[in-house]
Amino acid sequence: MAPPSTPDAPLQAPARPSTRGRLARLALDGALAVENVVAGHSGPSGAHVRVAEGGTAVGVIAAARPDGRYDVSLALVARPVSLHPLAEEVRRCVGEAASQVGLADALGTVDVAFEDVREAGPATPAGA
Amino acid sequence: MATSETTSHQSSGKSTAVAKRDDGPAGLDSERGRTTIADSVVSKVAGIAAREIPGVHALGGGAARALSGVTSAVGLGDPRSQGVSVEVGEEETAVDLTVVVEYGESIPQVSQAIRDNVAKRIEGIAGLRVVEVNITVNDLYFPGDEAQQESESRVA
Repeated sequence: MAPPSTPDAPLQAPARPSTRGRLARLALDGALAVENVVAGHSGPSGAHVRVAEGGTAVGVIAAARPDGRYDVSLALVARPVSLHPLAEEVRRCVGEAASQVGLADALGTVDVAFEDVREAGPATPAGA
Repeated sequence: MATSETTSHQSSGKSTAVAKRDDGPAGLDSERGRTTIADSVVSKVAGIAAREIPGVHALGGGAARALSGVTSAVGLGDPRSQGVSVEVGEEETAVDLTVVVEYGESIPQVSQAIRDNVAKRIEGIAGLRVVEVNITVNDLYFPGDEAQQESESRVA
């Protein structure tokens, strides 16, 4: 018999993140961990935003393919550095992150779009 | 009074100089995915590169600078892209710049330095060949202009 629920206990266990959701999250996190990648971007149409477990992820779309894999599309803001090598580094890091959690076989292509560049400026004073 | 001088890297018009693309921003395909670079990125890189040149006071015409001040104040637009217009192809780009040069600087030398730096930065960052950098010098800046304007606005 299941133990009686307490008032503080959640009424429903959180849903297990989907493969698509996990891939999107790890792809964005992997991209943001790359030096000279500043932030995610909502993309030219604002579509690169997903609201899921763990909050809002800005800068990523994961879409299913007929073969069961998921193509990832990243929209990013970067420092003004050489962008094509940076995109390759992002792909490498995303692939590595997917391998580490056993999702390498689920990952399709990783498209990288640089939507903006931002220079490294002086730190903004708090409250400014 | 605006001083205007237009220089160009090539005599051909920009619209014919850039190989057209039909699939959006500049891109590079690979087996593992596609890389795209938005036109706004190329614009901003050009603006940043132009501002790096000593003797360049500002980018954009008077109206553009005034409008930029308003839009920046409300969080819209980016002053680094003002005065910059780009046409981006699959592998090439052409850039139009409107600049304000500090009085006393050699406009031909400043223009050439802008052209070289813009080409270097865009080729380095976006991997695009720069076929043209057209520069319009639409004003001269005199040190003390801002102080004078501020003083006049207080009187009025």
